[in-house]
Amino acid sequence: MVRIAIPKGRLLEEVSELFLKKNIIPSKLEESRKLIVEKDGFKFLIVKPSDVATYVEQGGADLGVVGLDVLKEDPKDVYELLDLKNIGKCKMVVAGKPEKLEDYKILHFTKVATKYVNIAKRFFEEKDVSINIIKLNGSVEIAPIIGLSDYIVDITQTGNTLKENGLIVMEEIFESYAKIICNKASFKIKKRDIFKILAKFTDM
Amino acid sequence: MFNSTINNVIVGFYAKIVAVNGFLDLKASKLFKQFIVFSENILSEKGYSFIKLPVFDSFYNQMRTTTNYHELITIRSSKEVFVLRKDMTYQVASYIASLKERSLPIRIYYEGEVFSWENEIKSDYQLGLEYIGYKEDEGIFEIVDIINKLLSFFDKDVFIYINDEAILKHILNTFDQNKKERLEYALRYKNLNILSEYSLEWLLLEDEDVLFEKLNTLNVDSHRLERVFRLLKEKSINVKLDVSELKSIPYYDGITFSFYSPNYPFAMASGGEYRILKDVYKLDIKACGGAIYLSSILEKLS
Repeated sequence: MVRIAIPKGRLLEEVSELFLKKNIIPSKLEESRKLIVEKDGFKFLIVKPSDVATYVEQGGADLGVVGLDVLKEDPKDVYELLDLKNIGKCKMVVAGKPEKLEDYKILHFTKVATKYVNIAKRFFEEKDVSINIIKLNGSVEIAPIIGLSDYIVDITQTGNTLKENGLIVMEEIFESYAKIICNKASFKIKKRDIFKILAKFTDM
Repeated sequence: MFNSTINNVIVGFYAKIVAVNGFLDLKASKLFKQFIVFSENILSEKGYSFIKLPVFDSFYNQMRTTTNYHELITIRSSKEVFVLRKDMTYQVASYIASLKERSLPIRIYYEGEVFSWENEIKSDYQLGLEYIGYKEDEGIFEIVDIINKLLSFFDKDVFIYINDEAILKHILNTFDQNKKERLEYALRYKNLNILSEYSLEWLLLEDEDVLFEKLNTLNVDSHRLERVFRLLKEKSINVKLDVSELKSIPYYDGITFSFYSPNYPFAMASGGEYRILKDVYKLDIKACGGAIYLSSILEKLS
């Protein structure tokens, strides 16, 4: 039986609809207290988005659906079989107050609040900017408003949350979308079953 | 080699790593000790001699083992840069090259930790073996056979997946640099979207007849892979093809292999043929080696 790790939250709905459309499952997966759901020969593990890749890397799941943002922040030793470019679409950006736009263009040192510490570090390192990172786990938009940081690094889907909090995008870091990832051993050992799923997405 | 201050720092640092990943406990386990005795018996029976390799290596030696220098954990003294070894094969090559007299073939084995960096320090305890200076296909058969026997200590249901690194390098070299890099990425991550762009998604298949037919249409010489594959099958080894497998270690240039089992969610061992003695030390000697990933296996069993 192929075990698939699916992220709770905003991606669950989109992934569930996609799997239904591709005839992988007969009915939609719903978010509930039940975290392991067996459906049509698959075992679905409903887990935190940031844990999907860990489940797959460690062999707790054969396949997983994970955002590129999560993989870039915490890379795992997994295969990235398919890019689902229309699922989980969002942008990783640097944002801040509009009056900080000019300063941003000539940055040497700055304070950044983010949940994505590694992405922020790598991005600013490549720009030769020294940064002091303030790690936050949510509602990062507050940080520049109250002066905790100069900028934030965060994902944005529509830009509405940024706008409502008086922030603007300074620079886009990358576009994020969902990927189907696979455990390296499962790819070899369960190749036939995994290919049956992949065939629904490609001409294989 | 080191002055005492540096040595203390290094020992402290090293102790911290092994304590963090908990491998000291695994190494003390009864299973580990039993395996070491089991492996020593098999390897000495086959004529393999044990060599002890230093945990540190020169930066320039280890940088040849990776395409990503950021993976290397460096320690700087005032005069030199040392690296916690990421790979032991280059250390073996230095040793072989340093020998004033070489009576080929040479069969050696070794064990110890290798280290790398990816947001955190990662270490793995490996048992490695190398067969250097053999004729024809002897090396690949012998190394595969021994690793297969050694892994039977842990699991009887092991499969070996083989590929010829030369085939992939040939395919890659038909593209310009940008396309080549993109294809390399697709192969490392088995990314179907990109492989489809190059009409190479069939590389992921495992049906040997289909694969050999497809390789022929690309004018790729797959005869050696086919011969080794058939002969391993004749030797009753559970062998399969994975012609999309591009090793992350750049020195392999011939047949490569990885061992998997349905009971382990990772490769239990891997290796392949290489010519690093020719590239670096101007010694035209065929070599084949492999490593068993002991800490991963023992962690799974614990």
